[in-house]
Amino acid sequence: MVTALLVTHRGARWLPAVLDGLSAQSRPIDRVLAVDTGSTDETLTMLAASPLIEQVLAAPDSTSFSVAVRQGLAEHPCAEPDEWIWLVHDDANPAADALACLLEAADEDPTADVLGPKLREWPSLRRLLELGVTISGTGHRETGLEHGEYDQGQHDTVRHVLAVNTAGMLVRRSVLEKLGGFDDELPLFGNDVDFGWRAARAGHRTIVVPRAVMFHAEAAHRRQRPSTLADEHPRAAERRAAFAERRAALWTLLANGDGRWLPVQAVRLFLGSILRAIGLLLVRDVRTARAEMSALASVYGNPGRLRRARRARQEQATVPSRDVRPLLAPWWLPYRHGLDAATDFFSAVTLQAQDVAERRRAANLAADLGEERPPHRSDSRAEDRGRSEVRSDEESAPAPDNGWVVQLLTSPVALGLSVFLVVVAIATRDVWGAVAGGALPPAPAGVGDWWRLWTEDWHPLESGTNVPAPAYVPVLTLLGGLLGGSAQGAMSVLMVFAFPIALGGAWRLLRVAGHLATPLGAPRWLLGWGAMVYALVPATSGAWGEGRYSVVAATALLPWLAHAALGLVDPNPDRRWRAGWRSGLLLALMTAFAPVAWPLAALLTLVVLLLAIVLGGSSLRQWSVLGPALATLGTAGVLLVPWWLPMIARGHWGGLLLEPGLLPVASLDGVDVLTGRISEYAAPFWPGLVVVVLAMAALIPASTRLPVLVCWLIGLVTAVTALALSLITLPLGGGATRPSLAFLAVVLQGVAVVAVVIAGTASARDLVRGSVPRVTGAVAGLALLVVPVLSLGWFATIAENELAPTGDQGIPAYMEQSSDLGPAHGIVVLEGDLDQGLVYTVRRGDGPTVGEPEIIALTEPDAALTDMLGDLVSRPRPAVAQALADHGIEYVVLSSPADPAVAAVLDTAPDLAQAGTEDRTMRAWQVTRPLSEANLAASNSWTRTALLILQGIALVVVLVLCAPSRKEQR
Amino acid sequence: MTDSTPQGAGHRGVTGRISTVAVLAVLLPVLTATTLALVRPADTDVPAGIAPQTQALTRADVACPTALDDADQVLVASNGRGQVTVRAAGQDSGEPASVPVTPGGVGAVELPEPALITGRDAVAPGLLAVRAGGSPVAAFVCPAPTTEQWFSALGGRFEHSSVIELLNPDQGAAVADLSIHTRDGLVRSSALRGLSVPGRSVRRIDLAEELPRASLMSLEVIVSRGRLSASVADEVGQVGNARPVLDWIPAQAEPAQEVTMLGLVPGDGTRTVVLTNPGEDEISVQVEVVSERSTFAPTGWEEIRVAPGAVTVIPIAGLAQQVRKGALGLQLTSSAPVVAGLRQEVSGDVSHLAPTTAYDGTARTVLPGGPARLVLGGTSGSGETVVTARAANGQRVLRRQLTVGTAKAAEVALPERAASVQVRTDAGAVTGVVVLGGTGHAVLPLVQPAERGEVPALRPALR
Repeated sequence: MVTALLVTHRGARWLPAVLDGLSAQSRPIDRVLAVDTGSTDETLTMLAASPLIEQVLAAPDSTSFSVAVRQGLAEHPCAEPDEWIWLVHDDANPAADALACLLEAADEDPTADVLGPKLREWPSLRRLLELGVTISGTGHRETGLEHGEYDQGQHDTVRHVLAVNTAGMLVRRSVLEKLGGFDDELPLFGNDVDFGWRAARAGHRTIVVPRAVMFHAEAAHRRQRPSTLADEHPRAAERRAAFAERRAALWTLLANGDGRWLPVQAVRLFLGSILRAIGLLLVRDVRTARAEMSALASVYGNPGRLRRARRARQEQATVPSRDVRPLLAPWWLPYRHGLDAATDFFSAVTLQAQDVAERRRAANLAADLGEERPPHRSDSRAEDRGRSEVRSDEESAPAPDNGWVVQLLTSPVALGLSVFLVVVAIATRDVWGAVAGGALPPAPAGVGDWWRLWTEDWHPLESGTNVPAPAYVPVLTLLGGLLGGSAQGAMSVLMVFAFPIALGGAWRLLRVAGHLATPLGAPRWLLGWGAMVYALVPATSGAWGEGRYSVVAATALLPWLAHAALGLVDPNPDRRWRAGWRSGLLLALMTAFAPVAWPLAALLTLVVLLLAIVLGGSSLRQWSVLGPALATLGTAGVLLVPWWLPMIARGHWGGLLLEPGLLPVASLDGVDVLTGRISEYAAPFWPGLVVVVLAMAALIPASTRLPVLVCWLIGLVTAVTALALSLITLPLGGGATRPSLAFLAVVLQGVAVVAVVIAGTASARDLVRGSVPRVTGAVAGLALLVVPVLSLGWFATIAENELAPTGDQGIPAYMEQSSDLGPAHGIVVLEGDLDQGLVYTVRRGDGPTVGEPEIIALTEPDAALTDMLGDLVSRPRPAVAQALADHGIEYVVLSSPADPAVAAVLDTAPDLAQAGTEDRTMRAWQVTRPLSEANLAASNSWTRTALLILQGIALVVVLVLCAPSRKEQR
Repeated sequence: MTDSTPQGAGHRGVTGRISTVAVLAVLLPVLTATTLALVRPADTDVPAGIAPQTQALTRADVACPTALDDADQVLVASNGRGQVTVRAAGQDSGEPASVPVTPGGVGAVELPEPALITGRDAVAPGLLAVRAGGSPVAAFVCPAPTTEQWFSALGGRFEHSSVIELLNPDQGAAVADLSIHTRDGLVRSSALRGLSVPGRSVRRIDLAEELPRASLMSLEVIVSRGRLSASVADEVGQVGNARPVLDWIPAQAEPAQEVTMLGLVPGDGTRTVVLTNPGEDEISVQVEVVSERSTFAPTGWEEIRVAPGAVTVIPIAGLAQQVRKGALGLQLTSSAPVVAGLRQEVSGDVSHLAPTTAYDGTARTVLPGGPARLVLGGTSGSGETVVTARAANGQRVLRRQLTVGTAKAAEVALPERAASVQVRTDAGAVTGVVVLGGTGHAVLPLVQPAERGEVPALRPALR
């Protein structure tokens, strides 16, 4: 005998179909009971009207599923010993033969006490939901199915499982009653898993019968059921459901888990829940995080109930825990889920601004009134639709299912990019591992030195200085930390991987730019060309050869920043805001390496806003349009506050625009800026000039002229910035310098490449179709080809550079070792001769390593030390040696070639003993008085700590704000 | 213009839109280029050097070699009044002696050991010391430490040996490299390279032991580390049991193309010109005689050729006759810089001449007293030259005003009481020597002790 027990709760939406399904069963149901838990809709009426239902039991709203089942059964005592109970939800519709198949399976396998059907999604009817469930070690409900997997009969075997869903569960009444029904602690979710687990421990078998099919709307899980409280806010309902789900998971694991491992499991779940909550907070899902923590508190806050539940289960158990374990999810499953989630997250992060062009078009289509068009649009909407079909043919054709090797070899673009990477790897071979030279000082011994430099307020450099460390130091610290603490590795990675990073960034940027300009986007070979030409800018400009690591880093970051900034024109305000935070983060990173980036960004923002006002844009009145742009600038400012605030407060404002690296800064005139020639190591065939000429030619095709003009406008703003910066003199400690224009030259090259690619998107297709004269095509093609090919060839073969694995510090090795002992073991290095005068530098620790030259440059020279050294080279007295020792100077080095006239004076100095040098043209003396570092002692300052904490908080907040929204991930 | 831009039609008017875009397409690149043309490049020139400051010396060091025979007197003079410290080299313990000096006066101390003489503050400018004495007389101007010096006509035989003395006036060790040139060229000897001299001590190198050679040699001393005063004592063993005669060899600061050696002494004996070619090409040297009337090449004096790196020794046969006729010195004109010396073994004594150095304005020396004459070389311009000699207490004993003229020499006999002589000219540079007479002969060059020192300008590097 089969008694169907239908539990309803505001299910009027699905109930008619369910009742039809029940009545249409090929094996008629012997009796159908219904329990309604406080429905306020027509559910009760429908139930009452149904001839199928023997009795309707109206329970109050607060009745849980377990209670409802128990009440339903209590009303109708056991009719015969072999009675089956078929549990049916009001949102689960059985196929016509579902019950017949279940009973058939029960006949075939008499040991089975609990049977479940195959659950398919309702209303899609094709997607699989469940074929039995189990639970993982972290409480995740495991179905063993892919998300949205279609039912193609791939799982159609009867299997022994831990549990089956209560929707469609066929269970022997004797078993159900013996086990005490479902656990009252689990009112809504997870009671099926708990029941299955208890049944398994009590020696009962649960099987899933795929032949029997049930369509389940999962109304509760999907929050589709009208809320219990009529006026409850949907968000509150969502939180409540999330709480119930998570609580059920924790309860089930702790109540049923193996007793021996219980303490471990309890700790693991506790920590896991906290980690989950933090993770949820990081993706701005505060509600779920709160639910997570409430569930944790609810379960762990009441150990007595848990103990009772465990005792009850122990009493029922007949089978040891280890026999049930095979039915639980494997131990590694949570980690795989974690990996999947991380992958999803990162792909979401990288794809954030990807489809901005498509979304803009979609938004424009939706607006459909043709009022204000964004400036990038240049095609009619009809054309849009027509072309997107073409595009899908050309670009989105599914790749043949070959191996990646075949794909690589058959795609000229992939081949070209691979050749690029190989050639770059060859060209940069000398700097793998360690690099210094030119403007690039040697790296410190480890990232610890960088961390100290960043965190300390007072640096034991020169005679002690309070100039804050340059802003890129924490970035390099992080990079070096990821490389196992190797600062040398960080610099090497920076100088080598800047090329592929720039290549990837340029590719992404150009693809979006191409799509913004024309719906078809740029052909892949043109993207490849543009990306390669741009990625080679550090080499062809000579920045790499001269060790201008800041320019190299900024070149790699620029396309990523531009790509993120394109998100500011997204039609979706949420995405605009996120683009603003993201751009701010990248702008901070960029400004850290190229300080002129921020003024340029500010000027660009200003120009764009002014243009918007002049063109009468009404969108500016929306805070979500203006706000993200300002957030970009503000975020960068807040993130860099430990750098610029002390810099200004202590009067070193010259450092705000000082190019990182050793002086002198790159000196560029207008032609250099325009053609991207940063140093004498620039490519001799002026590739930058070719690109700029092409960018001028890019103004010729009329169809893309407007977006190309936008590029030229950016170029003009960059030029104005260059002009303004060239009028500024930056005061340094021991002189003055000018802001470097090298980064602006890179920006111009980048903008020119974008302009060429945009103009090429339409023209290239015309070329391919043959609608452009062949000669023009050949000339343009040759001009395009010559730049990357020549540049690559030149870079890998004859390009010269100043870089070497280690820089020569010009100091005997034993002195370097001695100076490593502490800041008091300083070395004064005198250069020059009697006729031209001497200049001195003070070298401490491992010398001026990356991050320190900027501090030293901004440090006001110690007048007392200058006087003291003046005495030393003119009239050395015993007091001079003592003063040197007090200043923490151990050695005085007269660098090669040492002027004998100067050396002669130093030779007469009392308490200065001659020190050996390998190079006989160099002279050195050791101060024989006891050294003191009293003058160099660092005093810890709370302001620095406060600024660092502020930066850390800002960083976390910005990272959270620019992370993809979790909702979109679902 | 046939712009086919489709969008915008019906909104703002096609022509207006097209013309704006077209104008911008020209305007923006032009504006960009114009703006960039105004950019001026950053000045990355290295800051110009700063010339050294000149100021009165605050410390001066000279070092006198070990006394020869009984020439154990050290004569000291200075521009200022005060105490000059005299310390025996190699003796760290013990207070150094102090010699009082006054302007114009000459102080004296007897110290047979090599002496390190230091003048500080007031007595540093013009510090000058001479070791002189003995019979036959020997004399030597104690040198200040220098980095490079040449000595000619050194001997490496038993009967003629030269001893090099390197004196380190400072606390730290100093290192010198000695290069010996012989008839056959440069001799590379590891024993003479990297010679270390401990602080405030002396190192002697006897060439007869280190580098026995039959012919006369030349020596280049290069101080590679620290400061050293170098001197060479020359000893000629007389045949039989007679006492050897000794004198010091004066130094030449650097090879020069035109050199003048003054101080020929009359008498019978040999006069040998020793020429060293430090270059890498053969050179030819013309020797001329300088007298009170003119400078000329006597008939039959051929050009002398010197092989690269080699030393050529020319006993000049006709020179004795020229000295009798009034020759006061020799002038050598070489095709390339040459190192020269003249060794005169005359009247039972030996003395050495080295090229004189020309000094602007004034030059002077101190002398032990006794018969002496001053030989002045030609001036570079026309003007008066004033010779002043003073006794040891500063009292003037001679004042003579004369005109020397170019390419000539002049001779002034000095009173026996003269302890110092100063020559001042307004006719350009002064060159000259004092030839000491009496028993034997010795030649002391006129020198210009440093009065002012250059102090390098010092500034922090632009970092």
